[in-house]
Order: sequence, then C-alpha cells, then structure tokens
Amino acid sequence: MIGPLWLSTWVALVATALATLVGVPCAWVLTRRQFIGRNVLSVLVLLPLVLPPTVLGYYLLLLIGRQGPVGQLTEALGLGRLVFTPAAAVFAAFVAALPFVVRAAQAGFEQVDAVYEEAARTLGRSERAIFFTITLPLAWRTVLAGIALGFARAIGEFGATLMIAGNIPGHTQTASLAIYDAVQGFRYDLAWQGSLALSMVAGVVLWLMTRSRVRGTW
Amino acid sequence: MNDRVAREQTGTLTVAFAHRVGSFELAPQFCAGDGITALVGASGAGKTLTLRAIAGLLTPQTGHIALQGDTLFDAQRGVHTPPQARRIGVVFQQYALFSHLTVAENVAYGLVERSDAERQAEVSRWLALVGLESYGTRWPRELSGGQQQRVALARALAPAPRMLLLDEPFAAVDMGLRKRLREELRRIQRTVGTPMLLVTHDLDEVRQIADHVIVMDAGRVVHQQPVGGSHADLSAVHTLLTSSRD
Repeated sequence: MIGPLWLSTWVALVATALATLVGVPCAWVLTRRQFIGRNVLSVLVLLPLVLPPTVLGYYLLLLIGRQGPVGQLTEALGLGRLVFTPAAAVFAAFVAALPFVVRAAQAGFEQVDAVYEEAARTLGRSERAIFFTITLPLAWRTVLAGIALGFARAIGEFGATLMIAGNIPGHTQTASLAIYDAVQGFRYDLAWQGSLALSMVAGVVLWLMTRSRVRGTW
Repeated sequence: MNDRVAREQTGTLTVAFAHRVGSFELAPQFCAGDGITALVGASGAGKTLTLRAIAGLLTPQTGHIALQGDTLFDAQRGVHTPPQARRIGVVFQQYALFSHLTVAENVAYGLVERSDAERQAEVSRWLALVGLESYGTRWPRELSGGQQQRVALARALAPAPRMLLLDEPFAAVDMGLRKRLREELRRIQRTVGTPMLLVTHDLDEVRQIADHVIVMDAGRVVHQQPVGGSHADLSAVHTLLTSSRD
C-alpha cells in the first residue's frame, strides 16, 4: 500500500498546487471584474462539483485522448500521450480540486471590503501589488481552507482517475484505486492500511478547516 | 461669477462633471484652493461621490477634473488618470486601515521606491506629527477611534499627495474628542501645507477649521463662501442646510 499512497500524495500535491495557481486568479477575476463569458467561466469551473464522476471522466477522456485537443497538443509537443499516465491522474485530481479552491477563494475575496483596495490605490500601489499585499492576505484563511478541501478531494479522486489514468499497479494505481482492488481481492489488511492513511489526511484537513474558522462557508 | 473665474485661475482643484445614477444626477461645479475647503450638504447630496470622482475611484459620464493645471479626468478627450497616478490622498470615513499590517506598515504602505532607512525615517516623522510616535508596532485594532483616524491621516499624507480628501473624518469619534482632533487637523494642515477638501455636514466643524465652504444640494453646488474663523457669518450656509433637509 506504500506505493499507491506515495503516488496519491504527490499526485494530490501537484494537482492542488495547479488548482491553486489556476483557481485563485480565476476566483479573483470572477469577484472583481465584469466581462463577457463570466457566467460561462463560473459554470465551467463549478461543473466538476455536480457532474457524476464517470461523466466527468468521460469528458476528460474526450479532452485528453488521442483525438482530443489536449491529447493532440501533447503529442505535437513531443510529450507523448497523456491517457493512462500519472499525469492523467494529476489532471483528474486537478479538475476535481479546482471548484473547491475557486469557491473558497471567491468567498474569501468577497469578504474583503473593496474600500481596502481603494485605499491602496490612492496610495499609489499597482493592482498586482494590491492583490498580493492586501486582497490575498486578508482573504488568506478562507483561501487556505479551500486549498485544504481541494487537496482532500484530490487525494481521494476515484472515478475520473480510473477512466483517464487507468488502474495500472505501480504506475497509475493511486491509494483510492488500490483500496478498491484490495477489497475486490479480499485483501482487507491492505484496504485497512489505505483507508486509515487516507482517513488521517481527512482528519488533518478538517483540523486545518476548524483553525481557519470558515466552517460556516460550506 | 467673476469670483469663480478668479478662483479657477488660482485654485488648485477644478471640478465640473456630471454623473447620473438612476434618477439622481450628480453635477458639481467648483474650485478649491489652498487651505481647508469644507464640502457640506445633507446626506445624499453627493459629497462622497464627488470625493470618489476626484480620487479617481468613480468615473463620471461627462465633464472634467483638473488639479494644479494637470487634467485628471476629461470625458471628451478620454482622459482618466488612474487613482494610483493622481497623487491625491484619501482619508476614508471608516479609515480603511489594513488590519493585517502594523501601524508603521500602514503608514509606510504608500512609500514605495525608497530605501528601508528612508522609509523608516518617513514613517517616524509622520507618526510624530500625528502624536503617535510610540505606536508603530501596534495593530490598528488595538487603537482607539481617534488614534486610528490619526494613523489614516499619517498614511494618506506620507506619500506627499498634492491634495488630501477627507470623508467625514470625525464621524466615528465621540463629540469630546472631535473638537481636539479638528484643531489637530488644522495644525497639521498648516504644517504640511497640503490643500484639503473635507466632507462634513457639521457647521461647527466648518467654523472651526475651514477656510472656505462649498454647499451641495441634490448633486449640485448651491453656494460657496470664505470662512473667516469662528465668528464667520454662515447664516446662508445654515439656511441652505436646514432647508434641504425638509
């Protein structure tokens, strides 16, 4: 169970980092800017939250498969195929984590009264500096809670991962998939190991959430 | 009318714009010179929106705004200088101090492109001027309302703005303290020389600190006059203020 747990950990870490890099600016744009396509972006980002995992997996497969736009792009760039690789597992976990990061960051940015950003503007600071020195620090607790939730979601990703990364032991078999396999094969000792490890992760995430005092947001 | 033209030539700030929000039309026209200009009017007269337009936080639909001959906004020519480049300081009604930064960090916030030593010296100088030299390491929430107001004042003045806008700066402090803070503001204005435009609806405040008063009603300037100290005849202002409240 160590191998799958190790894989799950780094897949979830990379996916959460990507979800943070994409989701936080996305949330900022959604809360602070008016633009055409704003609603479309908002819906797209939240879609993974409501779609059945297999449906989401199927769409992702269309996207990154050999014939899909992302798949063709990676082939053209000489990166080879994405499907049934650990990178696909990262992609599935990223898509699953994204709505959690975006929703929390949106809530966080909405809590920051625009007057603080206005004050910073009249003090001559650039929009970029204002984001990093005012908006983000004031919203940080809520954003962090979203990142923690996103990580929990990423590390437990199952359905979409199975469909686009497969369940290849030693290659793309994450802990969630390994637990499933273990139960199928009556290896309850392995199932227990994986389940306890993932439960501990969930516990740490919940502890982080309580510390950030935003339980009410969700 | 002649008086207005003369003021336009010497005045540091000229404002003439129109902005419609629903059925309310904001169309102030005035000039403000050196010293302290009080912008008075009942609530809803458009005082705060006028300040926002001058600071660049609101873009009017038509008209122009200029400071010391420098056009900040001109709808026809498509000029809209962002607030960052206007060099106009603002003291907001609730001060808007950054709660995650210390008092010294708040005051230093607008002091960019300076060495750490220079910045520290500037912060000390401004904190001393508002009488808070030993408060640099405190957090804004640890300060009283009057102290927070003075931090906001120091923060706005530190980057050496060409003009300072104050939106009812004494509204959040109690009556007893108000009088003292007004005197202090007047002293600071005399020391630094930065022209100030101060929104208020309090005639005592106008008498105590203003050099000039502009009365707004329903989005327009309806009266303006000099204020010559505490015995100034402000009966015209008083009449306008009380009549507009009916």
